[in-house]
Amino acid sequence: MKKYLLLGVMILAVALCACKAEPAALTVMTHDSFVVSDDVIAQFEKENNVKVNFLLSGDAGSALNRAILSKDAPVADVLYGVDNTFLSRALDEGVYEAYASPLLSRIPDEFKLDPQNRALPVDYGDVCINYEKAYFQQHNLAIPQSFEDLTKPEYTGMLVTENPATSSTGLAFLLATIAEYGPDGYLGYWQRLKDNGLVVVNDWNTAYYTNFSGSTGKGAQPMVVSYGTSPAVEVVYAEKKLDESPTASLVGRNMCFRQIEFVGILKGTKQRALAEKFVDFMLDKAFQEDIPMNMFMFPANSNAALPREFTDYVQVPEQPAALAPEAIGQNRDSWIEAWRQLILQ
Amino acid sequence: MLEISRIRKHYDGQLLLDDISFSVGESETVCLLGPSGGGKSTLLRIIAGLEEMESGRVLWDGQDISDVPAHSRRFGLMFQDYALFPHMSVSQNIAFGLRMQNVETGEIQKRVAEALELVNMPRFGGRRVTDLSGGEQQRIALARALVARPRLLMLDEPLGALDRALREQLSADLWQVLDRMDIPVIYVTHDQQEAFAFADRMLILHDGRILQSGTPQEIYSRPVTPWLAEFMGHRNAINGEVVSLQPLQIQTECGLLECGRAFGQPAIGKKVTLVLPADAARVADRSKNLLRAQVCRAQFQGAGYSVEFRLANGQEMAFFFPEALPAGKQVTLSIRPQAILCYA
Amino acid sequence: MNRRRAGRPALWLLPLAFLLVFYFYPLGRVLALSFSQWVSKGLAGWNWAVVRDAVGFTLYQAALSTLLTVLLGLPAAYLFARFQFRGKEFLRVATTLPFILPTVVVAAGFNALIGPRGWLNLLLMGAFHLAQPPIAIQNTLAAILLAHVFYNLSIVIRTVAAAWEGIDARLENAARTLGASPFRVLHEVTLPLLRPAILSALLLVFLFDFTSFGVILMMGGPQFTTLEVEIYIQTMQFLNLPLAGLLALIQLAFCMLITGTLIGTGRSMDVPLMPRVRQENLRGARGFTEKIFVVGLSAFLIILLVLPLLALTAQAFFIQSEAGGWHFSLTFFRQLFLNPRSSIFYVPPITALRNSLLYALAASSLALVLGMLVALGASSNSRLNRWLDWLVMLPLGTSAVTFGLALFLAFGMSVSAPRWYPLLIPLAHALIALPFVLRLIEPALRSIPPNLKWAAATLGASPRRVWREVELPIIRRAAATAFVYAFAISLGEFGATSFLTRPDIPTLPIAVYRYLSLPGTLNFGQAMAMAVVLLVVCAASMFLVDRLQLSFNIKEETRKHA
Repeated sequence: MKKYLLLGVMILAVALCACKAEPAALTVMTHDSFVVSDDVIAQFEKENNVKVNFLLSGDAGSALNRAILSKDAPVADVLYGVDNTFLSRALDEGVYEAYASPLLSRIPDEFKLDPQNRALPVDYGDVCINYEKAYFQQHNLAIPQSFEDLTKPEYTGMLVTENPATSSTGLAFLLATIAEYGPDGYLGYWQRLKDNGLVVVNDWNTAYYTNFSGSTGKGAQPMVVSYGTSPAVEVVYAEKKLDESPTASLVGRNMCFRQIEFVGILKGTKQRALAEKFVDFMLDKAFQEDIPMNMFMFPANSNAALPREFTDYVQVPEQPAALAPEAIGQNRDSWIEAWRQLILQ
Repeated sequence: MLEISRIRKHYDGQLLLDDISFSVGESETVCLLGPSGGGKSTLLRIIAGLEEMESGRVLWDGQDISDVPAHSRRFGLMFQDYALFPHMSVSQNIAFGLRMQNVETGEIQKRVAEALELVNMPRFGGRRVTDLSGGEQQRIALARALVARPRLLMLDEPLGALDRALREQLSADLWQVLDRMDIPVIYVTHDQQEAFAFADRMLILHDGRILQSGTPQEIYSRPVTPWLAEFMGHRNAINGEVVSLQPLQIQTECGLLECGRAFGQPAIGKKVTLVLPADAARVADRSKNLLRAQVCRAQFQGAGYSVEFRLANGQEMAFFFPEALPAGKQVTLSIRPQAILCYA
Repeated sequence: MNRRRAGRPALWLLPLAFLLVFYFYPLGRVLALSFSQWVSKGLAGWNWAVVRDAVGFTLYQAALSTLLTVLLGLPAAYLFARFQFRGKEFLRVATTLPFILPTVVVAAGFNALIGPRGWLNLLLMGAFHLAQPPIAIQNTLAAILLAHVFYNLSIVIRTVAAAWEGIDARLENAARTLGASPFRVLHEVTLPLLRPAILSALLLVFLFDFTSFGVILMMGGPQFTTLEVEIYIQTMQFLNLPLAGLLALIQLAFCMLITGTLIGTGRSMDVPLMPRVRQENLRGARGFTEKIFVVGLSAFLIILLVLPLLALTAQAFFIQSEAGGWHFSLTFFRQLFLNPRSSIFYVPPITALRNSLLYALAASSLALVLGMLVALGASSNSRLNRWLDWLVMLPLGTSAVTFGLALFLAFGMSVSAPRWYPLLIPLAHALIALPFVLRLIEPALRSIPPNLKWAAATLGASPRRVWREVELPIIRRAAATAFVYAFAISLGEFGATSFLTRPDIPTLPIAVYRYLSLPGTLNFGQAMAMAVVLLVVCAASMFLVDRLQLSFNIKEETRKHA
C-alpha cells in the first residue's frame, strides 16, 4: 500500500514541478477557443518583462460567469472574449474598469458598443448559414437569398441549426431572426421553419460533423448554421490542398449575426498599468493580424491586413444583423425560453 | 498456565457468555463441550484475542494478556472449516506462521517437511489446498497450527466436518499428535464421545455458563442437571414424588425406587426427575428397586445389546445387557440405587 | 474495545478528509452561493414544469438505460465467467474500451456506422433497394439508450463476471443434480449469490446514466432535457445560480436516495464464499446450444461495441477522395506530432497523451489507495461502512457543471490558482473513480471468510501482514479491475476536466474536442486519430493489467509442480 501512496505522491510531485512559479505575471481570463501565436505573446512578454498566464474557463459564457463570481477578488487582470450577446450582463455586473485605449481610434465606431469604454472591441465575425456547394449544384437548386426562402418547399429538411440554450451559434442565429422579424414576429418565422422540416441539435459539433452533408460526417442536411469563416477554415484545414472551399455562406440581408468580441480590464486588478499595456497590445497590429488564422475572426483594427484565405474564401455580409446589447441583455432569457417552448414542444 | 476470568459477551442482544471462568494447566487437554451455537467458538476467539469481550480477563502464567493482540499471543487456533489460504500451496500454508515469526528460509523448509511428516502427508507440499479432500485439509490445518509451536492450541470442532469413518481414523491420529506435543489444549466439540476420547478434563458450556467441570468419568456418571444427563447420553428419565428421605425413596408410576443421593434439596412430597443410566439395570437380581417391563426389541451393539423396554405406564427405556432378551417377554428389572440420578 | 466499534479510524479518516476537502467543501460553497442569491434575488426564471419534466425524464431514461444494460450485460457476464474461447481476452478489453471515449468521438463513430449515410445504412439501402436509410435514430430516445448501453455494458460485464467467476461451478452442478432445471439453478442459486455484484453494477450504471450529459446533448438532441442538461443551461446560459443550485440539489437528493436504498438492500445479501483463485470454473463450450450461445453472443458484442470503434478507427486511416473512393493515409497520425501553427496552447497533440497518462496514473493510484483504505478501515463496522460507502458514491451523482463551478469557487479564486489548478484534475478524477474502486474491492474483501483472517492472526500475522499476505492476494483480481476502471475513467473524463484544465497541458479528450471545434477534414481526421491513440493506449494498459494477473496465476501453477 505504501508503494501506491509513494507512487501517487511522486506523480503529483512531477506534475507540480511541471508548472513552476513565475515572478511578475499578468493573468488573462478567456474562453477556450482563444488561440494566439507563440512569438506574438513572447514579444509582449519580453518588451514588458512579464509572464502572461491565460486562464481558459470553458466557453465565453462560462468565462464571464467565473469573472462575475470572483469579481470581489478577481483571479485575473484582463477578461477577453465576452461578445455582444453577453456584453450587457458583463456591464451590468460591473466586472470591468473603463480604459480609453489610444488604439480605439483605429477601430470603426460600429464595433464600439460600450460608450464608456469598459469593454473594447477586439475582433468580430459573422454567424451565417453554410451550405454544401456540390449539393446545390448536383440538385440544380437555387441558393436561398433570404430567411423567407428557407421556408420554401424546395428546401424542406435541408437546414440544421443549434439550440440557442446550449450553443452560442444557435443563439446568434436566433438573434438574427429577431433582428429581421422583430421580437413579435420571430416566433412566427420559426414556426414556419419548423413546419419546413428544420432540424435542431444541441451543439455546433453535432450540427456540423453529424448533420451537415458538407463535412466528413456526410449528414443529411446541406445547410448548417456555422460561421462566415468556416469555408475558409475548410480550406486551411483540408487534408489536401484545395483551390476552392467545398462550402459557402448565405449572406443575405440580416441572415448573418455579427458577433463582436471584447476585452476589458477586470475591476480590482492590482496591475492596472500592465493590464492597459496588454489591452493596447491586443488592439495593436501584431496581435490583430494574428487573430484571423488562429481564431478565424476578423480583426477590429482596420489597419490590420487580412490573410489571403480570408480575402479569397470568406464572404462578408453587406448587411449583418445587429441588435443593441441592452436589448439582448434584457430579453435574451425570455426569447430563448419562448423559442424552447415553440420548437421543442 | 491459561486462566480465564469472568468473561461476559452479548451477541445480537442475547447473553452468550455469562461470567465464564476456568483454567487450563500445563499439558492438560480440556474439552469444552456444549450444544452447537452455545458460544464455544466465540469463547475460543476471545481467548485467541480475535474478538472483544465485554468484561473479564485472560491470563497467561498469571499475567493479564487481555490487551495483547491476537498475533502476539502465540495461541494456535484450528478452525472447523480449517481456513486454509486458498491462494497458497500446502507448504506455503504451513510455512505461514513460521514466516510471521521471521524464521529463516532453511529452517522453515525443514520444519514444514517435519510437520508434513507429523501428519502423514510428506509428499503433499506442492499441492493446492483447494485440491485436497476434507481429511487432508484437516491434517494440513493441524500441521499449520502446530508448526508455529504455539503456547496453547485450540481446536474448534476439528473433526466436525468429516464423515464418521474418517472421523474415527483421524481421531486416533489426532490424539497421538496432541499427546506428543505436550502443550495445553482446548478442544471444542459438541460430541460427547469425542470429548471423552480427548479430555483430561471436561467443561460443559450451557446457556452461557459453565454448568459442570470434571473428568469425563465424573461428568458422565454424575451430570448435575437432567439436561446434561440427557446430553451425556442418558435417555431414561422418569418422574416421581419423594416419599422418604432416609433412605431416599421415590414413588413413580411404575414402582418405588430407592436412590443413593440427590441433586438439589429433596423433601417429602416434592416432584423429582429420576434418570436411570443404561448400565444400571439387571434382570431381577434384588428384591427392591424393581420395574416391571416388557421387552420391545434388542439391538446388537457389538459388546452387548441395547434392550428397549416398555414400562407399565407406557414409557420406553433402553438398558444395556450383555446378552439379548427375547422380544415380548415380561421381565422385572432391578435398578442399582447408587447409579440412579435424582434431580430435585 | 472502541477500536473495533469505530472500525479503524486511522485508515478511513484519510479518505473521509479527502472527500470533505475536495468534494463536500466545494459543493457547500456552490450551494451556499445559490441559496444566498435565492434569498437576495428570488427565484427568477422559476418554472416548476421545467423542473418536473427534467426530473421525470432523467429518472425515466436512466431507469430504462440501466435495465437494458443489465439485461444485456448478464448473459455477457456469464459468457466471460464460465467459458474459455478464442479471442476472449480481446473481447474482454474491447468491451471496456467504449468507456473511455469522449462522447463527441462516439457520436462520430455511430454516425459513420448508422448515420443517414453511414456504412450500415448504405449497406442496407443497397441490399434492399431502399430510398431512405432504414436506421434513423438520431435525436431519439433509442439513440440515448444505445449510447448508454454502449458506454456502460462493460461495467455490468466486469463487475458481475468477476463475482460469477468466484462462484464455485460445483454449487450450480449440485443444484442440477438435485433436479433443478438450468433456469431454476439460475434463479435459485446463481442469481442470489450474484445479487450483491448485480446491485453494485446496477448502482454504478444508474448513476452514470442519471448524470449523463454528453450523450443526452449530442445523441438525444434538444427535445430531451435531463437535470444535468438543465443545470448546464441554467448555469452557463442564464447564470441562474439559484435555480441551478436547486436542480443540483434535487439531482443529488435523488442520487442519495437511490444509492442509499440500493446499498441498504445490497448489504443484507452478502454471502461469504471461499474464494476461488484459479480459473477453475472455466471451460470450453460444449454441445450445439452452448456453441451457439458463445458464438452468437460474441458476435452481438462485437457488433454493438466493436463496430462503432472500428468505424471511427477507419475514419482516422481512410480519406474520401473527391471521386468518392477511399484511400489509406497516415496523414492524420503524422500531424499529431506537429504543431504547425506554433500557436500557444497548441502543443503537439501527442503531448496531450503524456498528460493524460500522468493524470490517469495519479488518479487511479489515488483512487485505489483511498478505496482500499475505506474498504479496510470500515470493514469491521457495517453501519460505518454503509455510511462511507454512501458518501463515496455521491461525486458520481453530482453534476459535472456544478462540481466544476464548486471547485472554482473553493480553490480557483486565488491569483496563484491558474498555476496549480490542473493538479485538481487527478483529484477530481479520483473522486469520480472512487465509487468504482470501492464497489469492486469491497464485495471482494467482504466475501473473504473471516476465518482466513483469524487463522492468519493466530499464526502471528499482524493486521498489516494479514492485509498483505491474505486479503490483498485474494482481492488482487478485483483490485486490478478497479485500477483499470479508474485508469479508464481518468483517461476519458471530460466534464470536470474541461473546467480545470490549463490550455498548455490538455488531456486527450480535451484535445479531441478542440479539433472538433473547427471545420475541416484535417481537424476531423486528427480528432479521430487522437481517439484511436486513446483507444490503443487504453487497450494496451488493460492488456498489461490482465497480463499481470495472469502471470500471478501462472506463478501459482509452477509452484504446484515444483
